Amino acid sequence: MPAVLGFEGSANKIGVGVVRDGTVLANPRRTYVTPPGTGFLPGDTARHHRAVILDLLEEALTEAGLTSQDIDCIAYTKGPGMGAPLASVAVVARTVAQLWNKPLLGVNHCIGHIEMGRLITGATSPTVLYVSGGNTQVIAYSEHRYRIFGETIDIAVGNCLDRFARVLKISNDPSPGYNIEQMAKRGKKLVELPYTVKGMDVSFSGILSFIEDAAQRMLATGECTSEDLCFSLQETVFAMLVEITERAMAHCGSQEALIVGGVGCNMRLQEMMETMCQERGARLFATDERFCIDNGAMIAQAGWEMFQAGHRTPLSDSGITQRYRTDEVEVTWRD
Amino acid sequence: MQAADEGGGGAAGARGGPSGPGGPNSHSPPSVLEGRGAPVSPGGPSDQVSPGGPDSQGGPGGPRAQGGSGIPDGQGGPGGPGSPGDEGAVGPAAVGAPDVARAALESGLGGDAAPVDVGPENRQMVFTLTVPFRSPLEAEMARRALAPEAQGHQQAVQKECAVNGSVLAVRWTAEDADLLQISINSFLDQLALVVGSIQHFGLTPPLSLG
Repeated sequence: MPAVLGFEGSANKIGVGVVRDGTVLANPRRTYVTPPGTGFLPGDTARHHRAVILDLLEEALTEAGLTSQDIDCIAYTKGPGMGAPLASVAVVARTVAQLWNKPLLGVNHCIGHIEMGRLITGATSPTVLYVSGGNTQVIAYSEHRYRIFGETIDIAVGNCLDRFARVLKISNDPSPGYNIEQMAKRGKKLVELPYTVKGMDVSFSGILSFIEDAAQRMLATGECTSEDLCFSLQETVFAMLVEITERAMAHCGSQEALIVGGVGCNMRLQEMMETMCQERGARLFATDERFCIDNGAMIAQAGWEMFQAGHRTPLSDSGITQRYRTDEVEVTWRD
Repeated sequence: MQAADEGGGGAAGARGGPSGPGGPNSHSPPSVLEGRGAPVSPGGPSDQVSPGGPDSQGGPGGPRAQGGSGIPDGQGGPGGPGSPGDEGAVGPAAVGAPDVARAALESGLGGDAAPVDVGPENRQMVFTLTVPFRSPLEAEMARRALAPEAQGHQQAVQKECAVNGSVLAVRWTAEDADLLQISINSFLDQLALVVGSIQHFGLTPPLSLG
Protein backbone atom coordinates (compact mmCIF):
# COMPACT_ATOMS: atom_id res chain seq x y z
CA MET A 1 0.00 0.00 0.00
CA PRO A 2 2.45 2.65 -1.01
CA ALA A 3 1.72 6.27 -0.21
CA VAL A 4 3.25 8.80 -2.57
CA LEU A 5 3.81 12.49 -1.94
CA GLY A 6 3.63 14.74 -5.01
CA PHE A 7 4.94 18.28 -5.53
CA GLU A 8 3.60 20.46 -8.34
CA GLY A 9 4.64 24.03 -9.14
CA SER A 10 5.29 24.39 -12.86
CA ALA A 11 3.11 27.49 -13.31
CA ASN A 12 1.35 29.78 -10.89
CA LYS A 13 -0.24 27.04 -8.82
CA ILE A 14 1.75 25.30 -6.10
CA GLY A 15 0.31 22.09 -4.71
CA VAL A 16 1.40 19.20 -2.54
CA GLY A 17 -0.64 16.01 -2.64
CA VAL A 18 -0.69 12.58 -1.08
CA VAL A 19 -2.09 9.52 -2.84
CA ARG A 20 -2.25 5.96 -1.58
CA ASP A 21 -3.59 3.13 -3.68
CA GLY A 22 -5.86 5.28 -5.76
CA THR A 23 -7.16 7.41 -2.92
CA VAL A 24 -6.33 11.08 -2.66
CA LEU A 25 -5.53 11.63 1.01
CA ALA A 26 -4.61 15.32 0.74
CA ASN A 27 -4.36 17.93 -1.97
CA PRO A 28 -3.77 21.48 -0.66
CA ARG A 29 -2.87 24.15 -3.21
CA ARG A 30 -2.15 27.86 -3.46
CA THR A 31 -2.39 30.10 -6.52
CA TYR A 32 -0.21 33.10 -7.29
CA VAL A 33 -2.62 35.73 -8.62
CA THR A 34 -1.34 38.91 -10.26
CA PRO A 35 -3.23 42.20 -10.73
CA PRO A 36 -5.62 42.61 -13.69
CA GLY A 37 -3.81 43.42 -16.90
CA THR A 38 -0.70 41.50 -15.88
CA GLY A 39 0.53 37.94 -16.11
CA PHE A 40 2.81 35.95 -13.81
CA LEU A 41 6.56 36.09 -14.32
CA PRO A 42 8.93 33.24 -13.47
CA GLY A 43 10.96 34.96 -10.72
CA ASP A 44 7.95 36.29 -8.87
CA THR A 45 6.13 33.01 -9.24
CA ALA A 46 9.10 31.09 -7.84
CA ARG A 47 9.26 33.50 -4.93
CA HIS A 48 5.60 32.89 -4.21
CA HIS A 49 6.10 29.14 -4.27
CA ARG A 50 9.16 29.26 -2.02
CA ALA A 51 7.23 31.26 0.54
CA VAL A 52 4.44 28.73 0.91
CA ILE A 53 5.78 25.33 -0.05
CA LEU A 54 6.97 24.17 3.37
CA ASP A 55 3.66 25.12 4.96
CA LEU A 56 1.82 23.31 2.19
CA LEU A 57 3.90 20.20 2.78
CA GLU A 58 3.06 20.31 6.47
CA GLU A 59 -0.59 20.81 5.60
CA ALA A 60 -0.59 17.86 3.23
CA LEU A 61 0.89 15.50 5.79
CA THR A 62 -1.51 16.68 8.47
CA GLU A 63 -4.54 16.39 6.20
CA ALA A 64 -3.49 12.90 5.15
CA GLY A 65 -2.88 11.92 8.77
CA LEU A 66 0.58 10.68 7.90
CA THR A 67 4.12 11.25 9.05
CA SER A 68 7.21 11.26 6.89
CA GLN A 69 7.79 7.62 7.85
CA ASP A 70 4.51 6.65 6.16
CA ILE A 71 5.51 8.12 2.82
CA ASP A 72 7.08 5.65 0.42
CA CYS A 73 8.13 7.88 -2.44
CA ILE A 74 8.58 11.56 -3.25
CA ALA A 75 7.31 12.60 -6.67
CA TYR A 76 7.84 16.05 -8.16
CA THR A 77 7.24 17.75 -11.48
CA LYS A 78 10.31 17.40 -13.62
CA GLY A 79 8.72 19.43 -16.41
CA PRO A 80 7.50 20.91 -18.66
CA GLY A 81 6.87 24.38 -17.28
CA MET A 82 8.54 27.55 -16.08
CA GLY A 83 12.15 27.15 -15.01
CA ALA A 84 12.44 29.07 -11.75
CA PRO A 85 9.23 27.72 -10.19
CA LEU A 86 10.05 24.15 -11.25
CA ALA A 87 13.53 24.47 -9.79
CA SER A 88 12.34 25.82 -6.45
CA VAL A 89 9.89 22.99 -5.98
CA ALA A 90 12.41 20.36 -7.06
CA VAL A 91 14.92 21.57 -4.48
CA VAL A 92 12.44 20.86 -1.69
CA ALA A 93 11.57 17.45 -3.11
CA ARG A 94 15.25 16.50 -3.26
CA THR A 95 15.87 17.73 0.25
CA VAL A 96 13.02 15.85 1.89
CA ALA A 97 13.76 12.74 -0.15
CA GLN A 98 17.22 12.74 1.40
CA LEU A 99 16.05 13.73 4.87
CA TRP A 100 13.52 10.91 4.99
CA ASN A 101 15.60 8.53 2.87
CA LYS A 102 12.88 7.91 0.29
CA PRO A 103 13.17 7.30 -3.44
CA LEU A 104 12.61 10.26 -5.74
CA LEU A 105 10.54 10.32 -8.94
CA GLY A 106 10.55 13.05 -11.59
CA VAL A 107 7.13 13.16 -13.22
CA ASN A 108 5.99 14.62 -16.53
CA HIS A 109 3.35 17.26 -15.76
CA CYS A 110 1.12 16.31 -18.71
CA ILE A 111 1.16 12.66 -17.69
CA GLY A 112 0.21 13.76 -14.19
CA HIS A 113 -2.95 15.30 -15.62
CA ILE A 114 -3.72 12.21 -17.67
CA GLU A 115 -3.20 9.73 -14.85
CA MET A 116 -5.32 11.76 -12.45
CA GLY A 117 -8.02 12.07 -15.09
CA ARG A 118 -8.02 8.30 -15.57
CA LEU A 119 -8.11 7.66 -11.85
CA ILE A 120 -10.91 10.07 -11.01
CA THR A 121 -13.17 9.30 -13.97
CA GLY A 122 -12.46 5.62 -14.49
CA ALA A 123 -12.10 6.12 -18.23
CA THR A 124 -10.35 3.07 -19.68
CA SER A 125 -8.59 4.26 -22.81
CA PRO A 126 -9.87 7.67 -23.78
CA THR A 127 -8.77 10.20 -26.34
CA VAL A 128 -7.45 12.94 -24.09
CA LEU A 129 -7.85 16.64 -24.70
CA TYR A 130 -5.26 18.30 -22.49
CA VAL A 131 -5.90 22.04 -22.40
CA SER A 132 -4.36 24.55 -20.02
CA GLY A 133 -2.54 27.87 -19.92
CA GLY A 134 0.67 26.16 -20.93
CA ASN A 135 -0.36 23.17 -23.02
CA THR A 136 -2.83 22.17 -25.71
CA GLN A 137 -2.54 18.60 -26.93
CA VAL A 138 -4.76 15.76 -28.11
CA ILE A 139 -3.31 12.54 -26.76
CA ALA A 140 -4.09 8.87 -27.07
CA TYR A 141 -2.32 5.91 -25.52
CA SER A 142 -0.69 3.38 -27.75
CA GLU A 143 2.02 0.82 -27.05
CA HIS A 144 3.57 2.28 -23.94
CA ARG A 145 3.49 5.90 -24.98
CA TYR A 146 1.03 8.73 -24.67
CA ARG A 147 1.09 9.73 -28.33
CA ILE A 148 0.41 13.30 -29.33
CA PHE A 149 -2.09 13.24 -32.17
CA GLY A 150 -2.59 16.94 -32.47
CA GLU A 151 -1.47 20.07 -30.69
CA THR A 152 -1.13 23.80 -30.87
CA ILE A 153 1.58 24.95 -33.23
CA ASP A 154 2.05 28.14 -31.27
CA ILE A 155 0.41 29.11 -27.98
CA ALA A 156 -1.86 27.13 -25.69
CA VAL A 157 -5.57 27.86 -25.70
CA GLY A 158 -5.41 28.90 -22.06
CA ASN A 159 -2.58 31.28 -22.88
CA CYS A 160 -4.77 32.85 -25.57
CA LEU A 161 -7.61 33.29 -23.08
CA ASP A 162 -5.33 34.61 -20.33
CA ARG A 163 -3.69 37.18 -22.59
CA PHE A 164 -7.04 38.32 -23.91
CA ALA A 165 -8.16 38.80 -20.31
CA ARG A 166 -5.19 41.11 -19.80
CA VAL A 167 -6.27 43.31 -22.68
CA LEU A 168 -9.67 43.77 -21.10
CA LYS A 169 -8.12 44.01 -17.63
CA ILE A 170 -10.30 41.15 -16.47
CA SER A 171 -9.43 39.98 -12.96
CA ASN A 172 -7.03 37.04 -12.57
CA ASP A 173 -8.80 35.94 -9.39
CA PRO A 174 -9.46 33.03 -9.17
CA SER A 175 -8.23 32.66 -12.75
CA PRO A 176 -8.68 34.78 -15.91
CA GLY A 177 -10.29 31.86 -17.73
CA TYR A 178 -12.96 31.50 -15.07
CA ASN A 179 -13.85 35.18 -15.32
CA ILE A 180 -13.97 35.06 -19.10
CA GLU A 181 -16.34 32.11 -18.78
CA GLN A 182 -18.69 34.08 -16.52
CA MET A 183 -18.64 37.09 -18.81
CA ALA A 184 -19.22 34.89 -21.86
CA LYS A 185 -22.47 33.66 -20.34
CA ARG A 186 -23.76 37.22 -20.67
CA GLY A 187 -22.57 37.62 -24.26
CA LYS A 188 -25.25 37.95 -26.91
CA LYS A 189 -23.51 38.65 -30.18
CA LEU A 190 -21.18 36.31 -32.03
CA VAL A 191 -18.31 38.25 -33.52
CA GLU A 192 -16.61 36.42 -36.36
CA LEU A 193 -13.05 35.53 -35.47
CA PRO A 194 -10.38 33.65 -37.43
CA TYR A 195 -10.79 29.90 -37.03
CA THR A 196 -7.48 28.10 -37.43
CA VAL A 197 -7.34 24.34 -37.59
CA LYS A 198 -4.48 22.84 -39.57
CA GLY A 199 -5.07 19.14 -40.05
CA MET A 200 -4.68 17.58 -36.63
CA ASP A 201 -3.24 20.77 -35.15
CA VAL A 202 -4.52 24.18 -34.05
CA SER A 203 -3.10 27.69 -33.92
CA PHE A 204 -4.16 30.45 -31.54
CA SER A 205 -1.69 33.29 -32.03
CA GLY A 206 -3.60 34.64 -34.99
CA ILE A 207 -6.94 34.75 -33.25
CA LEU A 208 -5.27 36.41 -30.28
CA SER A 209 -3.74 39.19 -32.38
CA PHE A 210 -7.03 39.63 -34.16
CA ILE A 211 -9.14 39.89 -31.06
CA GLU A 212 -6.66 42.13 -29.22
CA ASP A 213 -6.95 44.54 -32.12
CA ALA A 214 -10.70 44.05 -32.54
CA ALA A 215 -11.28 44.72 -28.85
CA GLN A 216 -9.85 48.23 -29.10
CA ARG A 217 -11.88 49.08 -32.19
CA MET A 218 -15.18 47.46 -31.41
CA LEU A 219 -15.43 48.49 -27.81
CA ALA A 220 -14.64 52.08 -28.77
CA THR A 221 -17.40 52.21 -31.36
CA GLY A 222 -19.79 50.27 -29.17
CA GLU A 223 -20.18 47.69 -31.88
CA CYS A 224 -20.09 44.96 -29.25
CA THR A 225 -19.52 44.49 -25.55
CA SER A 226 -16.69 42.80 -23.67
CA GLU A 227 -19.11 39.99 -22.89
CA ASP A 228 -19.76 39.51 -26.62
CA LEU A 229 -16.03 39.23 -27.23
CA CYS A 230 -15.55 36.71 -24.42
CA PHE A 231 -18.43 34.69 -25.77
CA SER A 232 -17.13 34.82 -29.35
CA LEU A 233 -13.60 33.87 -28.36
CA GLN A 234 -14.75 30.86 -26.37
CA GLU A 235 -17.12 29.66 -29.09
CA THR A 236 -14.39 29.86 -31.70
CA VAL A 237 -11.46 28.34 -29.83
CA PHE A 238 -13.54 25.62 -28.23
CA ALA A 239 -14.99 24.64 -31.61
CA MET A 240 -11.44 24.27 -32.90
CA LEU A 241 -10.58 21.99 -29.98
CA VAL A 242 -13.69 19.90 -30.50
CA GLU A 243 -12.76 19.47 -34.17
CA ILE A 244 -9.25 18.18 -33.55
CA THR A 245 -10.43 15.92 -30.74
CA GLU A 246 -13.07 14.45 -32.97
CA ARG A 247 -10.53 13.90 -35.72
CA ALA A 248 -8.32 11.95 -33.33
CA MET A 249 -11.24 9.92 -32.05
CA ALA A 250 -12.22 9.03 -35.60
CA HIS A 251 -8.63 8.03 -36.34
CA CYS A 252 -8.44 5.76 -33.31
CA GLY A 253 -11.99 4.49 -33.35
CA SER A 254 -12.26 5.75 -29.79
CA GLN A 255 -15.48 5.76 -27.82
CA GLU A 256 -14.22 7.78 -24.88
CA ALA A 257 -13.01 11.36 -24.54
CA LEU A 258 -11.36 12.81 -21.45
CA ILE A 259 -10.70 16.52 -20.85
CA VAL A 260 -7.87 17.44 -18.48
CA GLY A 261 -6.03 20.65 -17.68
CA GLY A 262 -7.22 23.96 -16.26
CA VAL A 263 -9.25 24.94 -19.34
CA GLY A 264 -11.10 21.65 -18.86
CA CYS A 265 -12.98 23.26 -15.97
CA ASN A 266 -14.86 25.37 -18.48
CA MET A 267 -18.48 24.21 -18.62
CA ARG A 268 -19.04 25.56 -22.11
CA LEU A 269 -16.15 23.49 -23.43
CA GLN A 270 -17.53 20.44 -21.67
CA GLU A 271 -20.93 21.14 -23.16
CA MET A 272 -19.61 21.40 -26.71
CA MET A 273 -17.49 18.25 -26.29
CA GLU A 274 -20.50 16.42 -24.91
CA THR A 275 -22.54 17.32 -28.00
CA MET A 276 -19.81 15.98 -30.27
CA CYS A 277 -19.46 12.80 -28.24
CA GLN A 278 -23.17 12.15 -28.24
CA GLU A 279 -23.28 12.54 -31.99
CA ARG A 280 -20.65 9.82 -32.23
CA GLY A 281 -22.09 7.59 -29.53
CA ALA A 282 -19.03 8.20 -27.39
CA ARG A 283 -18.73 9.03 -23.70
CA LEU A 284 -17.23 12.20 -22.28
CA PHE A 285 -15.24 12.29 -19.04
CA ALA A 286 -14.18 15.38 -17.15
CA THR A 287 -13.00 16.24 -13.64
CA ASP A 288 -13.81 19.15 -11.36
CA GLU A 289 -11.53 22.08 -10.50
CA ARG A 290 -9.77 20.16 -7.72
CA PHE A 291 -8.12 17.96 -10.34
CA CYS A 292 -8.43 19.88 -13.64
CA ILE A 293 -6.31 22.67 -12.36
CA ASP A 294 -2.67 21.88 -11.59
CA ASN A 295 -2.42 20.09 -8.25
CA GLY A 296 0.02 18.00 -6.22
CA ALA A 297 -2.10 14.86 -6.08
CA MET A 298 -1.91 14.37 -9.83
CA ILE A 299 1.86 14.25 -9.60
CA ALA A 300 1.55 11.86 -6.67
CA GLN A 301 -0.79 9.64 -8.67
CA ALA A 302 1.45 9.49 -11.72
CA GLY A 303 4.33 8.95 -9.31
CA TRP A 304 2.42 6.10 -7.68
CA GLU A 305 2.00 4.34 -11.03
CA MET A 306 5.63 4.88 -11.90
CA PHE A 307 6.79 3.73 -8.46
CA GLN A 308 4.79 0.52 -8.70
CA ALA A 309 6.27 -0.09 -12.14
CA GLY A 310 9.78 0.24 -10.72
CA HIS A 311 10.78 3.70 -11.98
CA ARG A 312 13.24 5.68 -9.85
CA THR A 313 14.97 9.00 -10.43
CA PRO A 314 18.49 9.13 -9.03
CA LEU A 315 19.44 12.42 -7.38
CA SER A 316 22.15 13.02 -9.93
CA ASP A 317 19.50 12.90 -12.65
CA SER A 318 16.85 14.90 -10.86
CA GLY A 319 17.10 18.21 -12.68
CA ILE A 320 14.09 19.97 -14.10
CA THR A 321 13.44 20.76 -17.73
CA GLN A 322 11.24 23.38 -19.29
CA ARG A 323 10.59 21.28 -22.35
CA TYR A 324 9.43 17.73 -21.79
CA ARG A 325 7.27 16.06 -24.39
CA THR A 326 4.43 13.85 -23.27
CA ASP A 327 5.56 11.09 -25.60
CA GLU A 328 9.11 11.05 -24.19
CA VAL A 329 8.04 8.94 -21.25
CA GLU A 330 7.86 5.19 -21.51
CA VAL A 331 4.54 4.25 -19.95
CA THR A 332 5.53 0.90 -18.54
CA TRP A 333 2.63 0.75 -16.10
CA ARG A 334 0.06 0.15 -18.83
CA ASP A 335 -0.27 -2.66 -21.32
CA MET B 1 33.30 60.92 -0.35
CA GLN B 2 33.55 57.31 -0.98
CA ALA B 3 34.42 54.27 0.98
CA ALA B 4 37.81 53.51 -0.41
CA ASP B 5 38.17 50.09 1.10
CA GLU B 6 35.44 47.69 0.50
CA GLY B 7 36.99 44.92 2.50
CA GLY B 8 34.81 43.62 5.22
CA GLY B 9 32.56 40.68 5.56
CA GLY B 10 30.13 40.28 2.83
CA ALA B 11 31.47 42.74 0.35
CA ALA B 12 31.55 41.14 -3.01
CA GLY B 13 32.73 43.89 -5.22
CA ALA B 14 32.59 42.58 -8.71
CA ARG B 15 34.88 44.81 -10.54
CA GLY B 16 37.14 44.51 -13.53
CA GLY B 17 38.57 47.99 -13.41
CA PRO B 18 39.09 51.01 -11.20
CA SER B 19 36.18 51.57 -8.96
CA GLY B 20 34.59 54.92 -8.58
CA PRO B 21 31.20 56.47 -8.73
CA GLY B 22 29.47 55.19 -11.77
CA GLY B 23 32.29 52.73 -12.38
CA PRO B 24 31.90 50.15 -15.09
CA ASN B 25 30.14 47.71 -12.82
CA SER B 26 27.99 50.13 -10.98
CA HIS B 27 24.35 49.34 -11.48
CA SER B 28 23.05 50.63 -8.20
CA PRO B 29 20.03 52.86 -8.45
CA PRO B 30 20.38 56.35 -6.99
CA SER B 31 18.86 55.42 -3.67
CA VAL B 32 21.84 53.27 -2.74
CA LEU B 33 24.37 55.96 -3.50
CA GLU B 34 22.39 58.38 -1.41
CA GLY B 35 22.29 55.91 1.39
CA ARG B 36 18.69 56.65 2.07
CA GLY B 37 17.62 53.08 2.34
CA ALA B 38 14.54 53.67 0.26
CA PRO B 39 12.97 50.28 -0.23
CA VAL B 40 13.80 49.20 -3.71
CA SER B 41 13.37 45.48 -3.60
CA PRO B 42 10.03 44.28 -4.78
CA GLY B 43 8.23 42.91 -1.82
CA GLY B 44 11.12 41.41 0.06
CA PRO B 45 9.81 39.94 3.26
CA SER B 46 12.16 41.92 5.42
CA ASP B 47 15.06 44.22 5.08
CA GLN B 48 16.74 43.71 8.39
CA VAL B 49 20.33 44.75 8.41
CA SER B 50 22.70 43.62 11.11
CA PRO B 51 24.60 46.76 11.91
CA GLY B 52 28.16 46.31 10.83
CA GLY B 53 27.55 42.68 10.04
CA PRO B 54 26.96 40.90 6.80
CA ASP B 55 24.44 42.72 4.74
CA SER B 56 21.04 41.21 4.38
CA GLN B 57 18.98 41.78 1.37
CA GLY B 58 15.28 41.45 1.18
CA GLY B 59 13.56 40.29 -1.92
CA PRO B 60 15.19 38.15 -4.51
CA GLY B 61 14.60 39.36 -7.98
CA GLY B 62 16.31 41.46 -10.57
CA PRO B 63 19.88 42.41 -9.94
CA ARG B 64 19.17 46.11 -10.13
CA ALA B 65 16.61 45.89 -7.44
CA GLN B 66 18.99 43.87 -5.34
CA GLY B 67 21.51 46.62 -5.50
CA GLY B 68 19.37 48.96 -3.54
CA SER B 69 17.62 47.04 -0.91
CA GLY B 70 18.29 46.89 2.73
CA ILE B 71 21.72 48.40 2.85
CA PRO B 72 21.28 52.02 3.61
CA ASP B 73 24.05 52.27 6.14
CA GLY B 74 25.69 48.95 6.02
CA GLN B 75 28.75 49.99 4.15
CA GLY B 76 30.58 52.17 6.58
CA GLY B 77 29.64 55.62 7.78
CA PRO B 78 26.05 55.95 8.73
CA GLY B 79 24.20 57.98 6.21
CA GLY B 80 27.14 57.84 3.88
CA PRO B 81 26.70 56.69 0.35
CA GLY B 82 27.16 53.00 -0.29
CA SER B 83 30.35 52.06 -2.04
CA PRO B 84 29.92 53.10 -5.59
CA GLY B 85 30.34 50.26 -7.93
CA ASP B 86 29.46 47.88 -5.16
CA GLU B 87 27.03 45.41 -6.57
CA GLY B 88 24.81 45.60 -3.58
CA ALA B 89 27.23 43.75 -1.36
CA VAL B 90 25.90 40.32 -1.81
CA GLY B 91 26.49 39.14 1.69
CA PRO B 92 25.88 35.49 2.26
CA ALA B 93 22.80 36.03 4.37
CA ALA B 94 19.38 34.70 3.69
CA VAL B 95 17.47 36.30 0.90
CA GLY B 96 13.72 36.28 1.05
CA ALA B 97 13.78 33.29 3.39
CA PRO B 98 11.30 32.36 6.03
CA ASP B 99 12.20 33.86 9.41
CA VAL B 100 13.43 30.57 10.78
CA ALA B 101 15.79 29.92 7.95
CA ARG B 102 17.08 33.47 7.94
CA ALA B 103 17.85 33.41 11.65
CA ALA B 104 19.80 30.22 11.21
CA LEU B 105 21.70 31.55 8.25
CA GLU B 106 22.59 34.80 9.94
CA SER B 107 23.89 33.06 12.98
CA GLY B 108 25.53 30.12 11.31
CA LEU B 109 26.67 31.38 7.97
CA GLY B 110 30.32 32.16 7.83
CA GLY B 111 30.36 33.37 4.31
CA ASP B 112 33.72 34.32 3.07
CA ALA B 113 33.09 36.33 0.01
CA ALA B 114 36.45 36.95 -1.52
CA PRO B 115 36.44 38.91 -4.72
CA VAL B 116 39.34 38.26 -7.01
CA ASP B 117 40.36 40.97 -9.36
CA VAL B 118 42.06 39.37 -12.31
CA GLY B 119 42.92 42.70 -13.88
CA PRO B 120 41.17 45.01 -16.27
CA GLU B 121 41.94 43.06 -19.44
CA ASN B 122 40.39 39.82 -18.26
CA ARG B 123 37.07 40.66 -16.70
CA GLN B 124 36.63 37.36 -14.96
CA MET B 125 34.85 37.73 -11.67
CA VAL B 126 34.90 35.17 -8.93
CA PHE B 127 32.61 34.87 -5.97
CA THR B 128 32.92 32.24 -3.29
CA LEU B 129 30.57 31.29 -0.54
CA THR B 130 31.00 28.91 2.36
CA VAL B 131 27.98 27.63 4.22
CA PRO B 132 28.47 25.71 7.47
CA PHE B 133 26.02 22.97 8.32
CA ARG B 134 25.58 20.95 11.48
CA SER B 135 27.25 17.88 10.01
CA PRO B 136 29.00 16.63 6.89
CA LEU B 137 25.85 14.67 6.10
CA GLU B 138 23.73 17.80 6.03
CA ALA B 139 26.25 19.64 3.91
CA GLU B 140 26.30 16.80 1.43
CA MET B 141 22.49 16.66 1.39
CA ALA B 142 22.41 20.34 0.60
CA ARG B 143 24.93 19.92 -2.19
CA ARG B 144 22.90 17.16 -3.80
CA ALA B 145 19.68 19.08 -3.46
CA LEU B 146 21.17 22.22 -4.99
CA ALA B 147 23.65 20.88 -7.50
CA PRO B 148 21.61 19.38 -10.33
CA GLU B 149 20.03 22.72 -11.18
CA ALA B 150 20.61 23.28 -14.86
CA GLN B 151 22.09 26.68 -15.27
CA GLY B 152 20.47 28.92 -17.82
CA HIS B 153 23.74 30.48 -18.89
CA GLN B 154 26.06 27.54 -18.99
CA GLN B 155 28.83 29.32 -20.77
CA ALA B 156 28.55 32.63 -19.06
CA VAL B 157 28.48 31.59 -15.43
CA GLN B 158 30.27 28.58 -13.99
CA LYS B 159 29.36 27.34 -10.58
CA GLU B 160 31.15 24.64 -8.63
CA CYS B 161 29.99 23.11 -5.38
CA ALA B 162 32.09 21.05 -3.01
CA VAL B 163 31.73 19.77 0.50
CA ASN B 164 34.62 20.08 2.95
CA GLY B 165 33.74 18.57 6.28
CA SER B 166 30.52 20.24 7.37
CA VAL B 167 30.92 23.13 5.01
CA LEU B 168 29.39 23.57 1.60
CA ALA B 169 31.72 25.62 -0.56
CA VAL B 170 30.46 27.22 -3.73
CA ARG B 171 32.49 29.10 -6.29
CA TRP B 172 31.19 31.18 -9.17
CA THR B 173 33.16 32.39 -12.14
CA ALA B 174 31.66 34.79 -14.62
CA GLU B 175 32.43 37.67 -16.91
CA ASP B 176 29.02 39.28 -16.76
CA ALA B 177 28.19 40.94 -13.47
CA ASP B 178 24.43 40.82 -13.97
CA LEU B 179 24.37 37.12 -14.75
CA LEU B 180 26.70 36.46 -11.85
CA GLN B 181 24.41 38.33 -9.51
CA ILE B 182 21.34 36.53 -10.79
CA SER B 183 23.00 33.17 -10.29
CA ILE B 184 24.19 34.00 -6.79
CA ASN B 185 20.82 35.34 -5.72
CA SER B 186 18.92 32.43 -7.10
CA PHE B 187 21.31 30.06 -5.36
CA LEU B 188 20.79 31.85 -2.07
CA ASP B 189 17.03 31.57 -2.47
CA GLN B 190 17.29 27.84 -3.07
CA LEU B 191 19.73 27.49 -0.19
CA ALA B 192 17.27 29.17 2.14
CA LEU B 193 14.67 26.67 1.05
CA VAL B 194 17.01 23.75 1.72
CA VAL B 195 17.87 25.06 5.16
CA GLY B 196 14.20 25.67 5.89
CA SER B 197 13.32 22.14 4.80
CA ILE B 198 16.03 20.62 6.95
CA GLN B 199 14.92 22.63 9.96
CA HIS B 200 11.25 21.93 9.49
CA PHE B 201 11.34 18.34 8.36
CA GLY B 202 14.70 16.95 9.45
CA LEU B 203 14.56 14.05 11.81
CA THR B 204 16.90 15.65 14.31
CA PRO B 205 15.44 18.25 16.68
CA PRO B 206 15.19 21.65 14.98
CA LEU B 207 17.23 24.65 16.07
CA SER B 208 15.53 26.96 18.47
CA LEU B 209 13.17 29.24 16.65
CA GLY B 210 13.93 32.25 18.81
